[in-house]
Amino acid sequence: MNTVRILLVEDNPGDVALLRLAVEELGAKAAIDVARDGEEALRMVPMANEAPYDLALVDINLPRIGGLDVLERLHTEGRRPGRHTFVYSSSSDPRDRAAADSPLVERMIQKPETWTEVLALVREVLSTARPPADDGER
Amino acid sequence: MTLNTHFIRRVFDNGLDAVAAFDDNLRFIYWNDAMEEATSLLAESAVGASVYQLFPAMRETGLDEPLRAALRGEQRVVDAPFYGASSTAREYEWFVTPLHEGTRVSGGISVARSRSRGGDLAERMAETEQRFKIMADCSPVLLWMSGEDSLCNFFNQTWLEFSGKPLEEEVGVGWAAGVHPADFERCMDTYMRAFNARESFEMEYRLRRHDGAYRWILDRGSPRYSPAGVFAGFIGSCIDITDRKESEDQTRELAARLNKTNQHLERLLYAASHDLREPIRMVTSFLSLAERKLGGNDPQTAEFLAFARGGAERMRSTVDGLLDFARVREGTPSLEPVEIDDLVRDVCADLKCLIEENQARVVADGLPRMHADAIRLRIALQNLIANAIKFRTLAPPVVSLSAAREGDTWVIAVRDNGIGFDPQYAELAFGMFQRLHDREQFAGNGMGLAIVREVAALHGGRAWATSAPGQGSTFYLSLQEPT
Repeated sequence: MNTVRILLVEDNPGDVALLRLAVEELGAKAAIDVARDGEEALRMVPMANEAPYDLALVDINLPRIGGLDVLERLHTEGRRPGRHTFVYSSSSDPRDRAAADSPLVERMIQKPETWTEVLALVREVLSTARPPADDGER
Repeated sequence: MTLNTHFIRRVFDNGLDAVAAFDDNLRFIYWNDAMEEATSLLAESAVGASVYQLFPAMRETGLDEPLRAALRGEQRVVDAPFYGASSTAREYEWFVTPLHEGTRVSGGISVARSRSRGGDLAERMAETEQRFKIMADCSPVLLWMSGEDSLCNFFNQTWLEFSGKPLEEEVGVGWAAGVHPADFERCMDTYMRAFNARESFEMEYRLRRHDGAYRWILDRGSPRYSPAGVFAGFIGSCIDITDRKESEDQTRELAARLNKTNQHLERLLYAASHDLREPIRMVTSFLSLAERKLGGNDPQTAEFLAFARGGAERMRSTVDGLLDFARVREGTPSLEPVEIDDLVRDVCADLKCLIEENQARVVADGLPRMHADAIRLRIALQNLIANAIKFRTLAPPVVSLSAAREGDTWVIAVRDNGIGFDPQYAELAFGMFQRLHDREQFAGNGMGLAIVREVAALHGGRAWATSAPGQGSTFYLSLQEPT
């Protein structure tokens, strides 16, 4: 089974830990690269001619350059962070949700509040990230 | 006879008619007070003097004819001008009759009666004017008058004391020199426009006081007319409104400062509640993870962690309520036409889980279009519909929405078949962090209806409810349509 490559753009180490723990708990084979702010994300996202991550999960609230700004810059440069891109946020603000109408964004998710919700999120991330050929479980 | 003569003299002395007596040489032998007034000649200088000594021109003008006629034993009644102190002639009805001593004419009596009743009128008018002047001068307000040429011709004492200038300097356009340069043009424009249109005006301007300080004046002027209806100019009154204006300014300044502080607080509330969500989420997530890893080993640990998680969740719910409230308060609502049916559909999509869990039905059809802030109204409707579903009986919840127009106001009603409440708590329910039902059974942070009320207020409307226990309840939200 191929290892799925995930880019996590997240400045909160707690969230990073939770997601890694969930991946471990689910016994999935996933390589998670973490960008801790927007600038790091811009450096880590592959160039336009390179293969993108299988999935990028981008926090909207990042220090200095916000998640949506990062995506906009990548879009103008013709770069894609992942074959699938999810943004997520602890905010339930409808204004944030409206802002996630970026062409790169496939889904806008509210951050999980409990361990059960963390597991549900990671399950969804992994099933989306898996290449279509392997997609037997769905 | 002596008594009689004395009596007659008294009558003449105090009479209103000008009376004089003369002998056969046309020398005056009697001259009463009214005669003194009519001729400006005192009795002591007149008695003993001849007519021609007193009035040298009389012979040429022929005005002496009635006197000479009297000496011939004839009576004359003529109109004659008398020259008094004012040097303007007043018309008198002049009656001259001979005085007889036996059959001989020994002289004559001259009686002159002021003909012009106008004389009395002039006096009365002079008195009225005097009375007006006293009233004007005693008035606490500054008074002015202008003539039909628009130039000012009167200022009362109060005005002159205010400006510290004599009347001569103020009349005409002199007074305008005291108007603050920044107000001058507006002041003159207002006056001249009103003057030309013969319309009343009211204006505020700064006027220099005797001490050099400019004071704000409220000046009200009106056209004035003669009794015959002829335009005669303007009359105006002014009061010093500086104190009032200053306190108005202070109030405005205070209101602006308060408004700014409020905005700061609203932003702070928003930022604080927004930022609190993140750490609270960390607590709830890791507590639920810890419960899972540790709870299985020890029932007491499980219990402790459950309490901790319960507290954290309640904290999260409270912060969510604050955040929603802050969101509603922050910034300025923008009113636009909103299809309420669309809004309800969106809300139902957001509440999909809640609706399905409760097998609820939300009935709303044919709701009108209103002018509202879509985001805020949506938050209010979401709270009302969620409440209507949550506070349910065993029967599946049915929530129906309707709207009615009352004058310039739309009233949206959200009716449910839920548990209802005692109407005495209807107002309490709209308070912040107020709950009418227990937390275990009905989740919520107690902010929902406070937010609904806030949204209503932002639309110039109100929020209220009617209910009875077990009878369901109806919540109302009114929105004022902008005109």
